[in-house]
Amino acid sequence: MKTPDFTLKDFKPDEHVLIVARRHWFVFFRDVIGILLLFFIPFFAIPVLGVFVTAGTPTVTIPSGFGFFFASLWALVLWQMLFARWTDYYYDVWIVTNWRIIDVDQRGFFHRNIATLLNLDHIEDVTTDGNSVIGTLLNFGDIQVQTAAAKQELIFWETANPRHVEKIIRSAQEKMLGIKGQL
Amino acid sequence: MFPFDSALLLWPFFWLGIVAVFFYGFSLLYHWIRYGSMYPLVWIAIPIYAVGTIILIGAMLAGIASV
Repeated sequence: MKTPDFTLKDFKPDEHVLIVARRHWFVFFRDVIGILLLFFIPFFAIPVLGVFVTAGTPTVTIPSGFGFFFASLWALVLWQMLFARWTDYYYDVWIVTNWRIIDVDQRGFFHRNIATLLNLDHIEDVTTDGNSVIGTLLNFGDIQVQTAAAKQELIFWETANPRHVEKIIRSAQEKMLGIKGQL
Repeated sequence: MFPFDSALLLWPFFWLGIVAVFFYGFSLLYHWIRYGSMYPLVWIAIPIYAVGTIILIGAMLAGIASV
């Protein structure tokens, strides 16, 4: 994973991004499969419905251009949906800096929530959980970050390469605690 | 089949699709460009999205023309 070089508005002077974690590509792939299935549904459903509707009546002929037009319209709708899903997948990230973990949560197109979830020195434990078959094969899983406070628990869902992210969080935390210990 | 030009039936659907795509596309592009500095893949996604949208609008027009 490449270290990105952007900063956010409220970054501290010595704060920098260590890693940007997002859900594994398989999560988006699942959505793409769903959209592909949606695309094909009318091609099976409409002829079947047509058989029931026209049963016992003279055959109705629909000009071929109609089918092509509505197939294109349907594809256009799904094309928009595909990119909306991609935007949601790609823009939803967890940013680990040398100070804290930030959650960027994309809700719809115009609502974007950026929140500091926790500072690294508040972390009690970091664990990874990749116990699904596909997760194990493709190397993705959940990362659970626990803090001392009972309610504070952060989960990175279906993150790519969770052990690598966990290692980065742990080493950043150690460095931060080392710096604080010296002060 | 119809006593009038049947393509007339398709134009309302066409314009409905165009209006929806305009607002949807505007929202996507606005968002992508606004936060583009953080998300470099957006600059690859924009032309793919635009080309796909134009092709599908063209396909709708071809459908109307062939009625």
